[in-house]
Amino acid sequence: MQPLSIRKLNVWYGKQQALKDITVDIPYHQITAIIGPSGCGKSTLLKSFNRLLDLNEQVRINGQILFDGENIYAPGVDVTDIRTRIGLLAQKPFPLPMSIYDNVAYGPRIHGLANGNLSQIVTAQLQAVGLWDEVKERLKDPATGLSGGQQQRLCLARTLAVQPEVLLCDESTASLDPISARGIEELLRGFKDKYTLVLVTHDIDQARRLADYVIFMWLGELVEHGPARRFFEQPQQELTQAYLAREIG
Amino acid sequence: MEATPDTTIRPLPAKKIAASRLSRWRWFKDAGARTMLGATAVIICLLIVVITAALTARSWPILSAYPLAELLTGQVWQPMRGLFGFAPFIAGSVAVTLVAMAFAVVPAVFSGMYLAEYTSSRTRSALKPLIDLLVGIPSVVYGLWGVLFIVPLVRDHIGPLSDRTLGQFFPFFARTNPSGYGLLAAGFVLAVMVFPLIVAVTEEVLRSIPREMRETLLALGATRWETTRCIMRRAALSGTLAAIVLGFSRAFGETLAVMMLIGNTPRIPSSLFDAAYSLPALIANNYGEIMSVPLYESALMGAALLLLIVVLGFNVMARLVIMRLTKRS
Ligand SMILES: Nc1ncnc2c1ncn2[C@@H]1O[C@H](COP(=O)(O)OP(=O)(O)OP(=O)(O)O)[C@@H](O)[C@H]1O
Ligand SMILES: [Mg+2]
Repeated sequence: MQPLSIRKLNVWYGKQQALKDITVDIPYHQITAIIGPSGCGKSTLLKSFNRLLDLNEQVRINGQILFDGENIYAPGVDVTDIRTRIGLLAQKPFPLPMSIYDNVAYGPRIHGLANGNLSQIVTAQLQAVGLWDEVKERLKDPATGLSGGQQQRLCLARTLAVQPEVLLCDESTASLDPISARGIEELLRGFKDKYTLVLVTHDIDQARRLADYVIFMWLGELVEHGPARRFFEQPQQELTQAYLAREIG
Repeated sequence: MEATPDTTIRPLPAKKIAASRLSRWRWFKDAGARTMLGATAVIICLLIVVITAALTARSWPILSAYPLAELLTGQVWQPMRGLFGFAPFIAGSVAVTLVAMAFAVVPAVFSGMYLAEYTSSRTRSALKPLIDLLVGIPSVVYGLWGVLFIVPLVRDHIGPLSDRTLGQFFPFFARTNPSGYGLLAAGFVLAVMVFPLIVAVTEEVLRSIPREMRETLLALGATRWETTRCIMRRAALSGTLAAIVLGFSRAFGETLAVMMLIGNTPRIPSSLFDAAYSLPALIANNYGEIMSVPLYESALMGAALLLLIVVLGFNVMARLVIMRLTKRS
């Protein structure tokens, strides 16, 4: 079963078309990497999955994205429910201006997931991202006091605490130092059996390391997609071959 | 001994500067602009100092003739008999301002939240000039509106109604004055006057919150209201407080509209319908009259000084908070 099926998706920013006729399926419980040069529409595609794109008033969208067989752009769809089930880890870590504890607790609180064991949830999520030992002494301190890599792991814990089914990551390691970036990568790799992951990256090597499935975009169009092994070893399109050989991009 | 690095700044060789006419002209313009802009800033600061100094000097006679506590707490204002009690005016000003804030704050903050978080940019750009327009209406127009519509409304409907209901239990709502002029009418009109100011500043504060915060909260599945509430509580609280303080100081200093509506009776008010008197109205109504009475002019100057200190204090406080906020974001 495909958790996310994109069907003839077109997106415009004002008059400029950013996505052209995208049709692709995201495989269940695997890591899908969206790659392509800057400005090709990777972030736009990713944000269309959890309807964060709608926040921009200029944006016009047509086409369908089926999530569990339901079109998330159909009228009357509960957007908060979509965003709860499809979590997003942004490019730059943005800790909410509250304590470390409250950052993780915020989601479970508003969704009523706590049932009296909120601190257990927070502990479990902080352990899952390997942050627990670093912050257990200062859970009440403001989250802005953490380092960049710690902040990004906190944001990951915060997103996971909502219990999403799909996790979207928009170049979530790009603003981090190499060691923190590897740390996040390892975490994501380990999440495969629990979540469907979609990562945007412009780092081909990262896609090679992590991806099970690859989507290659160029100027708003989907050029080629397929299982990672086939995609990297036998790319079908000339454009893909040139991009992988770093002749263009 | 270690050799200290040579850090003296050597001037460029004169020839090099002369060689480039353009850069010299640009340097001149830059220096000129800096001086002019600096001078303006200094003049504005000087103005405040000069006004404060002048007011202090002119109110010195009364300040040295009576102890400060007696002036501030004295309840009788009879300049002819040498009685200068500011308490009724201070109480009147505080009371009318509080009534105004009671009416204005909640709707204004909610309107600001609505404008910043709920409207499309098109609606916002249609509504914002309207709000700025409201800020710009001369206070005499508000005052006239109060006299023509609010005073009769209070006199004929609200007053009797309040007297029959709440007034039976709470003296604060008893109709002590049948004219309609008083705290309620003045406070309500004042509320309408400060409303747009608080809306505008609240909206500005919320808009200055980084977009990422809104996106983060929405991406966690928070509703619009949960998002707005969290932004308000965690990031915009002090800015909103500053907006309210700004509204407070604006209301406290408002002269004309209050003067037209409050009833100008120097008595400490105890009911919403009492006529009272405000500090600015005291000055505006009396300055220039019977100045032959000893210490009268000095007393009015003292009132002006008090007013200046309160309004300036509140303003500076609010601006400092807003400045700190905008710098952080
Ligand atoms: N908010 C916006 N308003 C107008 N145009 C936009 C906006 N965001 C993106 N675009 C345009 O849409 C196209 C795709 O942008 P997008 O951000 O999806 O690219 P990207 O592949 O994520 O690039 P990068 O790797 O640099 O993040 C670009 O041409 C960009 O100019
Ligand atoms: Mg991007």
